[in-house]
Amino acid sequence: MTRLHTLGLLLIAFQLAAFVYAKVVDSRYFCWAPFDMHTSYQMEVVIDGRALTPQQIKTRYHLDHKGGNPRSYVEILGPIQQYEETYGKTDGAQITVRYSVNGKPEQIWEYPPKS
Amino acid sequence: MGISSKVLDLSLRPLRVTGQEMYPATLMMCKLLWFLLFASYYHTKFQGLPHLPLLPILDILRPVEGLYNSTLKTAYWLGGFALLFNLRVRLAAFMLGVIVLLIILSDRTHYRNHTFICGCAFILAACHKKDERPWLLIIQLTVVYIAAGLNKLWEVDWRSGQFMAHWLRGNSWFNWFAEYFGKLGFGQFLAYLTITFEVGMGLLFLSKRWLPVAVWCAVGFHIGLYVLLGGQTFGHFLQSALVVMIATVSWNSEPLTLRLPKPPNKLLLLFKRVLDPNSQFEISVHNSFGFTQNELGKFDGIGALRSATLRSPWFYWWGLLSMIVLHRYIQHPPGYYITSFLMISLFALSFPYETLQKNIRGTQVS
Repeated sequence: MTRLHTLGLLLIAFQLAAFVYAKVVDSRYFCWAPFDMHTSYQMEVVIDGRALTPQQIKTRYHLDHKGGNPRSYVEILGPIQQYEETYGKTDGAQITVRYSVNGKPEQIWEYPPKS
Repeated sequence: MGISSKVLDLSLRPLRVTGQEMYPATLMMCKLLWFLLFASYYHTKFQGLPHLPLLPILDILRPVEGLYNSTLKTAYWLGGFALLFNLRVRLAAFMLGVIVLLIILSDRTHYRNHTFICGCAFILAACHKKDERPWLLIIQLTVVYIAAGLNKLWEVDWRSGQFMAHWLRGNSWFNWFAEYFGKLGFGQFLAYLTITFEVGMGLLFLSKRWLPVAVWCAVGFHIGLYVLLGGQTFGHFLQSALVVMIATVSWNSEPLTLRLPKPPNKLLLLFKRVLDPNSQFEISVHNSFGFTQNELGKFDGIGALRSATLRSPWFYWWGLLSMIVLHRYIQHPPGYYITSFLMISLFALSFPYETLQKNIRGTQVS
């Protein structure tokens, strides 16, 4: 067993840890969960009373304004929330995401969250 | 050596895999994985990074975004060049693996299983010495399939059939069966079939004895999905998985003799040089035409031809290129049927009975 073998085993151990972690959260990164859940979504983003165009949304979040994700809805909501809590903190964006997981009734996610 | 001979020698380098820092099958896999990334326009990803990184500390690179992107891009091209032309191939593979992982970590919207598997395969390939069979890659395949199966089993919508019923709602053959068994009922059946296949294949990969069977099951599984889902490749996961499985091939280095009824002429020798870039064939004059595996002469005729195919880089390159071209440019209905036929034919050739027997006997061919 060489040091490089150990490094390789660590990479595999990381994936196993991600697999266990995915059992307690809804995200599905690095854990081999292809097509675990199919999410279709559509989002609207309003800043200063003006709705962003699909291209502006794509540039802002690196996500299409509507589409699907084959792993987890967190892969759509997570980047949006992360953007608004970091780079776009002072933009005051009003975001509405309508999404449906596996064809079940539509849910609405809003940012900032309504208390 | 003349200039034309040197040019020919250089242009054949991407096809050379023996005598390098990696086990030949592993190096073959790395070259094809890089080409697959290239053919999937991976080089267009090197812009606007970092952006919403999975590893928040990477945000400190935002002020030097241009430099970061250029460095990654340059390293990607250099790594690809080094792999193709056999320059420090282990270092190149490791570097490419790190680049793929860095891109995912630098932008969470770039996470895709089909690129993640490439990154892992590059790094794990680099962890092996040249005379080692890539056991880490085999463990990787096990983890991929078992985790995929168990993750699905964990999901309520998979267990109830809801996922399949929704996902396949527009699929004609699913709707035909669903009329008899109910959408949820048939969806549930397919869900458990998928889970059983994935977990079963993962377990088979762990056994040296059943490794070729695992490869065959995986190939059948992916091709089955490809046909039934109308040409679905899940990004390029299908191609990536098939390419990673090349690492399971025993690269037979025993000399193979091509028997010819008369001495070869210059043209034939040129052909031999192009078609056999790893100089693994010897030509002998004999009263019959054919191939012979020298070791006990046990692969004669078709068996030896299969053995020759397995060690021919042309075979793997043409396989991948045909798959990419057919899938991309010949749209269904003929496109994916032809691609499926091609994939089945390639693997029928590449995993012959002899290989299975060798593995069952536990013979190490290196």
